[in-house]
Amino acid sequence: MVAPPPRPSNAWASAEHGALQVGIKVTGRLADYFDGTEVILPDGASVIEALAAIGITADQVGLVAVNGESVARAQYGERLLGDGDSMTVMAPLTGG
Amino acid sequence: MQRLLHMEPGLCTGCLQCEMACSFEHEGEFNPARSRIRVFEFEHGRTSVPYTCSQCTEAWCLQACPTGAIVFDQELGAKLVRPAACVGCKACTSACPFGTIEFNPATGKVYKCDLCSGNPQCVAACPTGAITYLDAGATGVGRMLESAAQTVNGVAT
Amino acid sequence: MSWQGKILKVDLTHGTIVQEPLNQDWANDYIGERGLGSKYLWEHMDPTVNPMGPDNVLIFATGPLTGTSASTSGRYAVLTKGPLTGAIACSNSGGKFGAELKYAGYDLLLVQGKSEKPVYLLIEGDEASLQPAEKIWGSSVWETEEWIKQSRNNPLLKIASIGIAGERGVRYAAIVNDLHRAAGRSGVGAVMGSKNLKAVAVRGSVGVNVKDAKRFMEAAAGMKQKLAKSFGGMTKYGTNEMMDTMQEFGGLPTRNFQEVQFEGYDKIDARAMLKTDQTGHRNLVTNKACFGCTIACGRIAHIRKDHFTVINRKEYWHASGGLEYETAYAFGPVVGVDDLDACTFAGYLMNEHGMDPISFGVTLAAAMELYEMGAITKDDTDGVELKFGNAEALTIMAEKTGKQEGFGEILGLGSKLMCEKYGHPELSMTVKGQEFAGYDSRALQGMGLGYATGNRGACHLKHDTFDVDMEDQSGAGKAEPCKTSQDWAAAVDSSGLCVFTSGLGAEMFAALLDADSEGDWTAERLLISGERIWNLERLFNLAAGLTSSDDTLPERLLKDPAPSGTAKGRVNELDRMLPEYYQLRGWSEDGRPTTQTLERLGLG
Repeated sequence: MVAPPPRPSNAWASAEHGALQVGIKVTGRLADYFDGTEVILPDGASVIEALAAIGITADQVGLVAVNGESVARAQYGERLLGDGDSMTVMAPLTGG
Repeated sequence: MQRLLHMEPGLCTGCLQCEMACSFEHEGEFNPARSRIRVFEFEHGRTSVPYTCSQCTEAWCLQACPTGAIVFDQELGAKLVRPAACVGCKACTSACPFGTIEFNPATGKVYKCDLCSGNPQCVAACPTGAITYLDAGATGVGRMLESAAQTVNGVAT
Repeated sequence: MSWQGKILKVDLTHGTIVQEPLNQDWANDYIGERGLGSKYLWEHMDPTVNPMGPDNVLIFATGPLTGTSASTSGRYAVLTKGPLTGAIACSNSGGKFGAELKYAGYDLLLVQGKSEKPVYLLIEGDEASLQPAEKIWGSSVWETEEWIKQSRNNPLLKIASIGIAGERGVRYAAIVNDLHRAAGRSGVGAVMGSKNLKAVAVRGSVGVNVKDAKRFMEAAAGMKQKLAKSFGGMTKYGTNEMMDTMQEFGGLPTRNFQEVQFEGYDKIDARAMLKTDQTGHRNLVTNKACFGCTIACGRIAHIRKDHFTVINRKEYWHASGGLEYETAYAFGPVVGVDDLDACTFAGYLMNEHGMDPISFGVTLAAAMELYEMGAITKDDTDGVELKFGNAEALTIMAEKTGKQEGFGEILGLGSKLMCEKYGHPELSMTVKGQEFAGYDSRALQGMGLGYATGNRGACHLKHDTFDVDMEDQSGAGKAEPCKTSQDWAAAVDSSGLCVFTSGLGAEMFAALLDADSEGDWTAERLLISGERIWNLERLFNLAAGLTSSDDTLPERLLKDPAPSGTAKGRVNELDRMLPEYYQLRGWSEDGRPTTQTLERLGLG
């Protein structure tokens, strides 16, 4: 599947009151979807919302880690992000 | 409208799906040795070049054939081998400057690209669009367009 | 149909070549390629023989889908007893040689004995002959291919050959075909060298037929559509797409597995290969396909002409096979090198001289650790400072090993024997003597179990637990997916298609195979065939003298916790996984298939 043009970071929107600034790193083929380094999310945003903000769906993901700790797939909706968190979105492994 | 096979080596990955499709269409089996189209690789695979008959207007093979076994199909623009009339003398394979008409020792006849009656199977099989079937009068248009675009961007000097 | 129904048997001792009909019963039970080759090996040799002696048997096997228009149909497998492991060796390759062997009319080529003088096997059309190879003995793979094509005046020959490494018994020498594709692992090239067989050159014109053409073409078209949808990343980035993922995950073996993350990863990953530098040079030239493959993950790269490795060596200024994930790992993190051109050059040398890059890189990594701890010195290493991160040491040693000069002779032993020689067996990152691929068993637990139980030693291609390993970094629930995917990979490896397509599922394979081949092929039959193949390989190893004590990992992975990454603090939980695995396999506690299991699989 051809990826759409990568979304830029939306950090230009600047952190408004009640908004989170979250560092994002995307690996492998998924980097075709997002080539920024951070996103601004509404307060109370979860992993699934962060993924939506960068145009990636959960089934495209191999693993998400927040601050270096992995997040179970079932927890994507519940794991809330805090201001200044860093989230890594890893592509699935294919073997080589 | 006469159309012909247009090759873009830059898009070819060397997978040989075209050779398999060609042999399947003409021989009913996968057998690249009997394919009318061949892909050649250069410099450890830096380039892969698909190559087949270009259907010359003044076809050397047709001119050389002593039995009239090679005929011109006006509609397709293709030069076709009539196996029943081919005696396997190989005058055509000697005459062709490009080597794109070949002899099959198993049948004692020659064979070449016949454009699959207007539906070339190599084109259908190519996964990257390296082989296309274009208006015979317009094969240069794509490259002209690219060059023209470069002029706009100020790249070409 | 789909099988050509013929095999070629070559006896090098007596110089005889005979055709035999394919044993169709074996094909029905073992499919082709890896499985069928293993069965022929089992029936033709004593597993206890010296792998480098004349009694070892060397088999090149194609599958029923090899040479068809199904995507990735260029695969063949080499089966023999591996000198690196003393176990069954099963090394798979793409390129164009495998399909050509099928077009020569053979499902399988079986080589026995040892030639008195160097020879190569020439198969042109329906004629097969042994040709003198004295003139190319001592030549590289690249020179050999060129020489044979020229001397036969046949540019369409497809050639599999060995370099000096194979001739001189480097324990991880590879058989390289089509210049830069390789049956790379377990030392199959050394076995070929021990037989004085320099090359096999083939061009054939026997067509491959399928049972039900209409159904087959539909199934093949569906497969290609699925691949086009899901494999775009592999086409664009190649397998080295995984480098930055492994880095972030913390499973990237670094400096001989002392660490699991490498600070220089982004200088050698897929994105670095695609970057154009200020001089206008880009490492990646283009991507390239093996026979029939619509993915085309292969990389063609070139080296900066002013790089220290080639600045005075114009002969390496041409493009050639570039870095895949495993080569990038083996010349990068595991030896601490982050020089893209040096890694690319090391890759050239592996192909040119015929060696397995994984085993070479991991052996060099162990030598570097020995050097840094003082167990070896410059007196041992021909004056080379063998420190982690030394790109020059990497390329010098790659060449010395390829040509079997100086310390290269020691590196050619493989990591296990080398580490034993210097009194530090614990530094050898191997299973059954074979070096690890680029996935750390502390972060990828199921991978660790797959390595430990691998029939050819540590190998990442004979099972697929990537998804479950990423989801959960514990050893819980890993035995079942490991076992099931081992069986499935064995079936895929026996079909003639690339293991990269295994994710398309058993139903799709069954549809292809059933349209292609005689007999009713179902997903269930494929899986049970895979399990049969796995157990036959196990029987070979048990007969060769291996035991359950060989199903283990180095202490470093079992005792030293991962120092960083998402699996920080973890060790591999093999103790927990292995008993569960044996039970699922229907094996005894000491890892032997029970009578019941053997009977269930038709191996009794």
